[in-house]
Amino acid sequence: NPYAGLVSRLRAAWLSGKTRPMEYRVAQLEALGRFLDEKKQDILEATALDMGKPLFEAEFSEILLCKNELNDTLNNLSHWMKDEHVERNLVTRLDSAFIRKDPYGVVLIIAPWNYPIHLFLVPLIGAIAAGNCVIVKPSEITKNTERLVAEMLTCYLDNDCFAVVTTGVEETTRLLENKFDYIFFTGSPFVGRIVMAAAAKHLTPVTLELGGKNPCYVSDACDVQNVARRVAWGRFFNAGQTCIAPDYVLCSAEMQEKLLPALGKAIADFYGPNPQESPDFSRIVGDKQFQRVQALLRSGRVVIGGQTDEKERYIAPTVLVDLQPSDPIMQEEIFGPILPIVIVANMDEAIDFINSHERPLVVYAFSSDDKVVNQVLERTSSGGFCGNDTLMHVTLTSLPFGGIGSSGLGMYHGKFTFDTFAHHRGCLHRGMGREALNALRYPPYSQQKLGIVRAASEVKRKGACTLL
Amino acid sequence: NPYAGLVSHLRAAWLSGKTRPMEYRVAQLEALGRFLDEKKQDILEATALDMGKPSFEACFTEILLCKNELNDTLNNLSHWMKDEHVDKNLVLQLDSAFIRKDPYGVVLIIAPWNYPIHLFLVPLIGAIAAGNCVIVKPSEITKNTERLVAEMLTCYLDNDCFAVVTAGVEETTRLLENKFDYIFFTGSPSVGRIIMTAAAKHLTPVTLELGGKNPCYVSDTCDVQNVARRVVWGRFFNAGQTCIAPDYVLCTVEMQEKLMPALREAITEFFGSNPQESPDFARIVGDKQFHRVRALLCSGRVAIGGQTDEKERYIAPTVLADVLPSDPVMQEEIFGPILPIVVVASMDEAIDFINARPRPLAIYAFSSDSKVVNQVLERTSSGGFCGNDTLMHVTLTSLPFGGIGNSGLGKYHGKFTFDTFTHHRGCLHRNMGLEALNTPRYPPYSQQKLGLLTATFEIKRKGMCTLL
Repeated sequence: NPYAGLVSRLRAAWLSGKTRPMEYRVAQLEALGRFLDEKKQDILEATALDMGKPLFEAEFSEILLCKNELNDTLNNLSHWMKDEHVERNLVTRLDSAFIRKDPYGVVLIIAPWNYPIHLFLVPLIGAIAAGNCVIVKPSEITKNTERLVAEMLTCYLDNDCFAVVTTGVEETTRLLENKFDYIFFTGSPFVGRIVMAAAAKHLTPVTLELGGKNPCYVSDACDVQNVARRVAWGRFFNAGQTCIAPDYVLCSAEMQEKLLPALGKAIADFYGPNPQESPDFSRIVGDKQFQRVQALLRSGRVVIGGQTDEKERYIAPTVLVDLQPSDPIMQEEIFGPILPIVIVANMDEAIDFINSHERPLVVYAFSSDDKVVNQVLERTSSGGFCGNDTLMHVTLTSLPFGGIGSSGLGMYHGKFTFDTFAHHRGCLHRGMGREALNALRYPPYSQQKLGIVRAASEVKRKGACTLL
Repeated sequence: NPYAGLVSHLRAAWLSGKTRPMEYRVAQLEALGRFLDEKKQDILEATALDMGKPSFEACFTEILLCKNELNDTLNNLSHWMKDEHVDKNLVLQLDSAFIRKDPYGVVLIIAPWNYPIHLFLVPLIGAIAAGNCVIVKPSEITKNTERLVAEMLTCYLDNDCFAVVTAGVEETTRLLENKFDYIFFTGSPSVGRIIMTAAAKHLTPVTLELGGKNPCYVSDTCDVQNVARRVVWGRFFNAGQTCIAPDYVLCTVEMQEKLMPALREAITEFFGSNPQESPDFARIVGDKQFHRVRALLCSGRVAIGGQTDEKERYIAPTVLADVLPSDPVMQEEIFGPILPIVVVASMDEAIDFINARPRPLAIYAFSSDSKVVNQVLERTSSGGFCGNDTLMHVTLTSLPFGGIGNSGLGKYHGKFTFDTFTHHRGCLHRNMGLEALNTPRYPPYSQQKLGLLTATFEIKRKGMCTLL
């Protein structure tokens, strides 16, 4: 296996204990911070070349949000690393009982192309913070960014413990034959299954950040212009190539009447009368993806946008109506700048529609009526949820980010990333003496001993009449 | 598929929302408590018939420890179920940001035969507490207990939402073809791989509680008799059929000299001069397992015990000396009443020995010198750890219980079981108005807007000179 040498080299480094001291981890994390500062221009240029990512968007998602995760981690690392002492029972009162945060060992992070720095860097921060050695496999689709990461990251991080691997599909398959101690994968559900099956051979724990069709319910009671702006922002950011973008809207026919002109206005406000000339609108990452998304335009009826330019891989911010659930665009995650609107009679029908499909990464609900938002939250299941906005829930490092069902398993961001890559080891340290305490559990058994053991170790039900 | 109907019946029940209200979950959990109380005698009799489990041991592991988990859960459920409000940044100050605890849906729990009630019931408690519907597959090896669970559990729990499936290997394979929303498996690593591979097809999250060879290092500075008693207790409880039993001892040749008579004395104290006549010593569960364990006796030299009785499936509490790493008893998890002693020169050699092998479910270290215990803890990796005792770390509901690497993935007990079966859903509920707060993020982009965004979103690194 072409990667066996690399993996065993990193495993040896991990076993040497090099990554354990907090000072070491802080130094590596601070180096990542310098990478983001010193290579910022290179990052902005690479992502602009790879997919026309507007500088503002790249600064926000690839630099700012990453620095937030870095600082949050650096601010809290010593606290997160500490042994957590836990409650003891009568028997263990004099002992030391705590949760030790151990690294897993050698971790593999596989990142996709849509936020090519962010989606390897944020997991990497947590993996380093938790004391692991890491192999990063950036996406081969965004070639300029891939090259930047491969050349530059190794200048900033300790090459004994961290490595970048540039591979296509076949080589990634060979890479996955090796035994890793954790695999963190962001990508499609289809590839997620392959990664998990490969992990199963080695009993390797995984986090899979996948995708799906994120529904966006818009109730009749709302501020239509605000809704339109927030939905347009979430849908067309990065030309729709966002795993948490609102994928389609569910609303009544009356609401659609009001929403369409509002969406038209929001798009014009954002990108001008010809979005192809706006510096603030991205492009589709590659020809294959362009063809796939373009084909979805033949669903329903185009009411806004619909223009495409193959040379630039430009697809206009587009809104479709008159959709049938059976249309092509309703069969797969769109991952492009197209927003279909599906008519439902009421909130109940919207909820049933959502629940009859795969559980998405996020469910959105817009209503001035809190009860409506809470009903949608209560009666659906998804990775995350946002009421009255899009995308924003993932910018808080204090909220866990992850999927459920085919949208993924596991969660991260903030402390959740550290916890993902740390093994929580239950530890008890007892005294060598005080043997009398133990005598009750030893054979020869007796009813009397059982009675005392029960009294000393039982957890009683608290009074059912008390205010809990 | 013979189980498709059952699974969809449970899925419909879950979608109906029946398991969501706390009152419903409490009622089901209280019914489990009545099962443990009213059927206690049946449980003791069934496990005695199945594997000669002494009633003291069955009372402790199958009743008392289960009731502790039940009461811990009932005492805390309303608190665990609540939305957890989280820290917000400047932008989201006026919003509601919280973690919602959602059930996964339809959960499958597969239990082994060694603690046949405990090892399905404790996961079941957490699964019910978290609002799931559950299919329990008890072990087909312990036939009396299997029958008891199949007949009785359905009398106590709501049959719309909970079911027991009795299945052998082939039927379990068919069962696993169905899509579950979580699979909790306790058993061997080789079957664990099969489970995870089946789960990967549906992207089903899993907890795997597996096994391995749990090393037990005994340093030269210790109270030999106390050590001997605690190790003997852990090794011969349930005739050694315990996933966290000390599997083998590592010590110097000098310590072995002292330990041997101490072990002999402890065994006699516990089980008398002829353990086959003691009512306090279990039997091997079946003929196949009996033959497997008995074959391991031809490793090294029998220093204590070694007697067997095929008719009773009795294997005497046995200690082997002069054991080589290449001996059969050192190639697999023993899961029987045999304790091999492997001689090492020093603590460093013991640590190297441990680290050269798959990571076990537990590591034990005995020393009067806390520094030695801490060194072993620090320089090894395992599911859990106990210094100066065996087994006891898993009796605390506040400590997570789970493996790492070959010994498993995921963790449970206490709140960790509830968290295992709960999807932590990151939620943000924003205001329909206050649109001015959002305008800095919308196109057309500008440096000024970026500056504003940075100021309101960024997390700063805290001063490095402060005491953290």
